[in-house]
Amino acid sequence: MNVFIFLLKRFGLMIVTVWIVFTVSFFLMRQIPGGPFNGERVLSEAVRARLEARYNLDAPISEQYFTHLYNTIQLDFGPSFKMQDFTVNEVLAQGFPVSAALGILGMVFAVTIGMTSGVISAVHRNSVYDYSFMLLATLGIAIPNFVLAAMLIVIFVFNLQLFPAAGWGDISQIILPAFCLGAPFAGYIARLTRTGMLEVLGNDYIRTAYAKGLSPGTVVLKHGLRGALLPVVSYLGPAIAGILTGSLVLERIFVIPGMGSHFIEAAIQRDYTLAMGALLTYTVLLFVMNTLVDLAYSIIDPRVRLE
Amino acid sequence: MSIPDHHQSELERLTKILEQARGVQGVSLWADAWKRLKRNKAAMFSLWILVGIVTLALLTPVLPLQSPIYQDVKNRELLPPQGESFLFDIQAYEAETTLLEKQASAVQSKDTDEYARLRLRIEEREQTHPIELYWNNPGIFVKSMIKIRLVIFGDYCFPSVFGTDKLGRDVLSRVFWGSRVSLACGFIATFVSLLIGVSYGAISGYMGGWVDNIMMRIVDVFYSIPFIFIVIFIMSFLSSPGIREPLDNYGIEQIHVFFLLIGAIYWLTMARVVRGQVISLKNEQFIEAAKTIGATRMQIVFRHLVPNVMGIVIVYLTLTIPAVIRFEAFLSFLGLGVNAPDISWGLLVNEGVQVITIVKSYWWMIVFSGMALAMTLFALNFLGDGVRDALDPKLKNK
Amino acid sequence: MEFHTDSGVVQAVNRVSFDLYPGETLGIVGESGSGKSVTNLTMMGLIAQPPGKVVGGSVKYADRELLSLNQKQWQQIRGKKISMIFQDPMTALNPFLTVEEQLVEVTMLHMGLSRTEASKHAVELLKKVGIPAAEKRIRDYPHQFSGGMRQRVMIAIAISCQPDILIADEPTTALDVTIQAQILELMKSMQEEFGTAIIFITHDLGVVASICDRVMVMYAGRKVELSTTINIFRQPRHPYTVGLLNSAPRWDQGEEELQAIDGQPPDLLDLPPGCSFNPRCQFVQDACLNETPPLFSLENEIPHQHACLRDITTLKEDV
Repeated sequence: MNVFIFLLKRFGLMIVTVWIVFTVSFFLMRQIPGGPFNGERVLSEAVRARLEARYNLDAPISEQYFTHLYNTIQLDFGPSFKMQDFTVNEVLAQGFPVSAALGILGMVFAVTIGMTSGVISAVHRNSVYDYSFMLLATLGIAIPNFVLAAMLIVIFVFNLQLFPAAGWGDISQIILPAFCLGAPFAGYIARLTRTGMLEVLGNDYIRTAYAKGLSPGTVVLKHGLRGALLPVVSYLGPAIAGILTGSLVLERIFVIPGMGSHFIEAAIQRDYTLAMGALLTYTVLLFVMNTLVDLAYSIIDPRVRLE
Repeated sequence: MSIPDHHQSELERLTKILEQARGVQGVSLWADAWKRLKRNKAAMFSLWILVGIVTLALLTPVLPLQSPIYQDVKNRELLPPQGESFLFDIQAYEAETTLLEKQASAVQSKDTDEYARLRLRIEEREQTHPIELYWNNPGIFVKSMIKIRLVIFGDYCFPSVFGTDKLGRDVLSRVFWGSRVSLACGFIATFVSLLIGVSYGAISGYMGGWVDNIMMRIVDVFYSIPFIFIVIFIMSFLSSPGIREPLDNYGIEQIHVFFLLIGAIYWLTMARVVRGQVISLKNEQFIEAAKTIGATRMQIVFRHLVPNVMGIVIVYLTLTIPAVIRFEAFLSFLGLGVNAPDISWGLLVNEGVQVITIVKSYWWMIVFSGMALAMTLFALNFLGDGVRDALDPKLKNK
Repeated sequence: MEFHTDSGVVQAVNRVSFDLYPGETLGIVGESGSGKSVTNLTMMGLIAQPPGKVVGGSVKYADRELLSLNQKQWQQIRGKKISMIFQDPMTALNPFLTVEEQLVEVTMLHMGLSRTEASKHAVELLKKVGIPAAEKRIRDYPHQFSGGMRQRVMIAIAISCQPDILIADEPTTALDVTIQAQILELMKSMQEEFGTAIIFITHDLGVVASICDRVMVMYAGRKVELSTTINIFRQPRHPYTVGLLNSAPRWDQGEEELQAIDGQPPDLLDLPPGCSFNPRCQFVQDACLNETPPLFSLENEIPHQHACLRDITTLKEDV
């Protein structure tokens, strides 16, 4: 019941946020003098009128707003401005699974590598492992993922010729982008796990666990890890947002036909319907992910109550 | 007049206390933190690297670098790093102008028509002076620095040790000029976020009650908005001709809007942190004391509360600056931030990625600008960690 | 037993020796930082190394030298033969695991029980320590219990393998007075049932009087007095013990004003030469400033050890 109310509240907040994002971007879009077909090649009056009718640009602005809002509520983002044979929905439906696969793999990579090295660092505090892991983690955090990607392409694709440079569909094509996508977050997670673990290992209940005669492995993994997981879990929200933005760049570098490249393409080409569709999808996605993270947090820590 | 005895002894006592008080060397939080920071080798090393980077960026116009924007596709397209130095043709150009000036002064009194014609040519030559060609619209200050450079180094330019790009431009020079935009963005945008965040947080925390409640709800809603995507959206909107032209007419460049925009989205966490600190501080005695001497609300907030939250603000700043620099690089990389002919590190890395082909990877186009960016961010991160440890009272005395 | 800190080496416990007999309760009393807890953590092999380091000495359990045990052998002892209860039941239980999980993991490990057996056993234990509706509450998390109930859970965990020795490190300090009495009562009854020897660490002399057979007084990492509880209360032979007794309220001394011991416990990094207690001692004499007092043993019908150069039983009247 508790969970139900929590989800309901979150859903309400999400609707408000999505509505704000929709309204702001709608009016920004309509601010452009002369509409979106200005500045391209010169169009004849007849062609322009036809185009404006097709995109419903000839109606009064309030009517446009409500029509657009109504369509959006029905999850119909309309036709794309620039890819004229596609609707925004088609473009997004095509790109989403690709981006999801990349994002999930990047996230899995970040969490496994990050947590493992974080735990090792904490348990062997001030050892060589600790120092080298933490140096790597700071490197991963500091270097922007597109710089990392560019350098890895130079090394692995051109010098060692281990991976193909770009494209999508093959396992070997996903490894490099997923690594670059996950690397900064692996770094953060490693550091969070280390600090969290060190803090947890200083707790009284760890001493109790040792006093019970449990082996160090059991103490660390069973009694320590859960507490150390909490900062990591609360970081997952921002991390997911970061993975989404990171995928914008990496999809572009590695020429992956995901939602990110479509969004950037749309923004550069000023394809407003597509950009807005992607923007709203991202907003919803972030909300859903953050809600899931909060749920996970409450499962791990029984003391937390959902609000 | 004689001072009564007990007054005399009281006076002595007070004088003594005063003397003792003068003798006590107060160790301020900052001096203490600085002492601890100095012990942290990694942080100090990073600090020196950053001082070096910033100094080089500031001095870029007086360094003997090649032109960052001069194109020579025919002869210099994508040359690998090399040691051959390069010469400007500015001295010859100026010599010619000087010659014209001499001719002009020679005919000044004799032939007024000829003199006017020569003066016009000289003025034209000033307009088409190579400085305008080799540097992108320099301001008065930068222009005078470039002139100093021309006086010191003449036509000499440092060789293209970082290679050249697709249009034959010198990468070394571009990395140096790019550092100015990247760093400026980091500092200006962070400053904007600092102003908004500290004021918002301090006011919200000090007011308390329903004002605080509403202000924090607004922050909550803002938190759930994916700002990065919105900035991308707004940048694309700003770059549309219908919007850009009127802005240009007001003298507002896109890059300025861009700085403000980045600053305006990074204030949320700052506002929260400052609010929390202010709430815990506002019941302290020194605030009560300020109230009793009749300080206004705004005075209390900005004269008494804000200076006391500076510690945590600085810690947060060390996180914001690299985040902002990275974000600028990210947007410029996507082609949505700084636009040519302006240069920033993100833009340079993007140019590097774009020339990657199946056949050849022009590595120098990526490695140097990428390293400059990575090194700066790495140093900022290390320094930030050091500052946080130095200012964290929990770790004090350890 | 030394601690290597940034500010220097601390000798936390120095020349402390005592015997513990089956079924008895030994109280260890002293101010904070006097080495009570460190002594017992050493006996459990639970001192973190570094910074801690056992420099010498011996801990024997049933003729086995514990200090030379390896990690595996220690695990056989801890929780099974010697178990421990800590001061703060709020923090000593893992907040992320159910009470059941924290109970069964000990018996499954040491007694080789299956999960269902261990679970049943755990419910019985909880009933024994007086937790109502044990079958239901066993699935709760520690934060759903009150402080007293949590300490009962701790006791249940500690006695689940029927250990020979139970070390209780200030188990009642963090609790309300009424709850304290209940917990003490519970510990006594558990002791009677299982014949466990208890080491009871506390600074509360009232608790000592009610539960302990013998008492050891510690000061600055050293043993300063050891005898039966009655003897210590009737005839204290170390000025520090006297100070402790005077600073605690006693039913038999009426309305007399309580006397605090002057001064602060010493900095272990910078102990005064001679007897560590000399700066605070009202009977101090020249010898106390130079000579570290040896341990005097009075072998009357009741053995009594004390570490004071002066016989204060005779001096007491002079003051």
